[in-house]
Amino acid sequence: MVGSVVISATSMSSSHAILDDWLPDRCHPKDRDRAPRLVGVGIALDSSAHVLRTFTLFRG
Amino acid sequence: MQFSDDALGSMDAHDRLAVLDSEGIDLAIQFPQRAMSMSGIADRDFMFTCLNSYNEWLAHGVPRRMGAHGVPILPTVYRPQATAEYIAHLKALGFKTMMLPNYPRDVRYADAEMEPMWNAIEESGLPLNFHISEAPDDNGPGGLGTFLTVSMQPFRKLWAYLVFTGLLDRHPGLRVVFTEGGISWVPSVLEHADRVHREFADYLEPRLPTRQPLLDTQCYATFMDIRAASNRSITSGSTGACGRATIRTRGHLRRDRRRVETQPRVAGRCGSDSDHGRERAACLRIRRTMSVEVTPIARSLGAIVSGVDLRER
Repeated sequence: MVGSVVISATSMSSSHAILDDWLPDRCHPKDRDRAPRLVGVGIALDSSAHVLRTFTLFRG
Repeated sequence: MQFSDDALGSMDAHDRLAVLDSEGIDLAIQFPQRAMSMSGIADRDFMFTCLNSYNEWLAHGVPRRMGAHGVPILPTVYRPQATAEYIAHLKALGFKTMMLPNYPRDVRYADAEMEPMWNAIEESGLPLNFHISEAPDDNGPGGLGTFLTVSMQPFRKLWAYLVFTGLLDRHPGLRVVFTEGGISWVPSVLEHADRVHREFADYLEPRLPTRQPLLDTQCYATFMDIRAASNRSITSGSTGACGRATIRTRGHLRRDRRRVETQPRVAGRCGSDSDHGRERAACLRIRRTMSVEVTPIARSLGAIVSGVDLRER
C-alpha cells in the first residue's frame, strides 16, 4: 500500500567493516598492504601518503 | 565539533538498524560514500578488485534491510567491454540499480570506446545513479561551508554533458538518477539548456533532435527539502516539505502548474545524521522537454533508484 513504507537514502555505515576487514581479506596477499585504508576521517589509496578527505564532519 | 563516524550507526551495520528502528525507517538505500573514492585507485585492475569487493560486501556483508537495496558501483569504466558481464554479476547479487563516478580519470563518457558500457547499461534495464561528491577539497577556513554549498549544485555540467554529447539520445532506454544534489539546479539548467539548444542549434555538435518533445524523460533527481527548490521556479505548498508541492515552470518553459503530493509516510530523511531532522525525501523527474514533474517517492526512489516497487511490499 502506498504510504506504508518509510525508506531512507543513506551511506557510510560499516566503513570499518569493509575497509578494515572485508576488503583486505579478499585482496590477493601481495596487494593487502596497499588496500585502501581509513586514516582518521579520510581514506588512503594505493598506499599513498595522500589521504583523501571524506565528508564526515557535523556538529554533535 | 564531532565526527559523524562517532554517531551511533555510522560505522556499524547492526547499530544502524537500531537507528532505523528508532526513526521509523523500514528500508535504507545504501550509497557508497567512502567506497566510491576507491574508483580513484591508479592501478585499474586493483581498482576493479576493490570495487567488486565493495559490491559483494554490500550484497553479503550488510543486513538485507540495507544491503538488498544498496547501490553498487559499476567498476568497468576502464573495461567497457566487460560491462554486460559485470552487470549480470550485479543482478545475480540481487541489485536493482548501480552507480558510476561522475568524472573518472582519463575517461570521457561519450567517447566511442565507451559505447559498450552504455549499451550494456541500457540493455540491463537498471537505472544508473550519479551522486554528489563527498570528498571536501579544503578543510581550511570556510572550506566546509564552501564545499557543501557547491555540492548542492553539482550536476549542471554532468547533465549537460550527457545531453549535448547526444549520449542520452543514443541510449533512449537509459534512466539516470542524480542523487543528493537537491533539485534547485534543475530549473536553471533546463532554462539554459533550452536556450542553448534554441539559439545555438546550428553550432552544436552533434545536432540534437528539434522535434518536440525534445527528448524523452530519462533523468531523475532526488531532494530532501522542497524548500531548497523554491527559488523562483519551484515553490513549496502550504503543507510543507512532505505535503503538497506546486511545480511551476517559468519563462519560455512550458507554462503549466502541477499539483503533486508526496507520500507522507513513503519518505525518509536522507543521511545518517539526526541533525537533518525529519526532512522528507522525494524525487523529481526531469523532463528534458523543458518541464518538470514530481513523482511520489514510492515510484521514484522505490521503483527507480532501487528498482523495487515498494507499493507491493
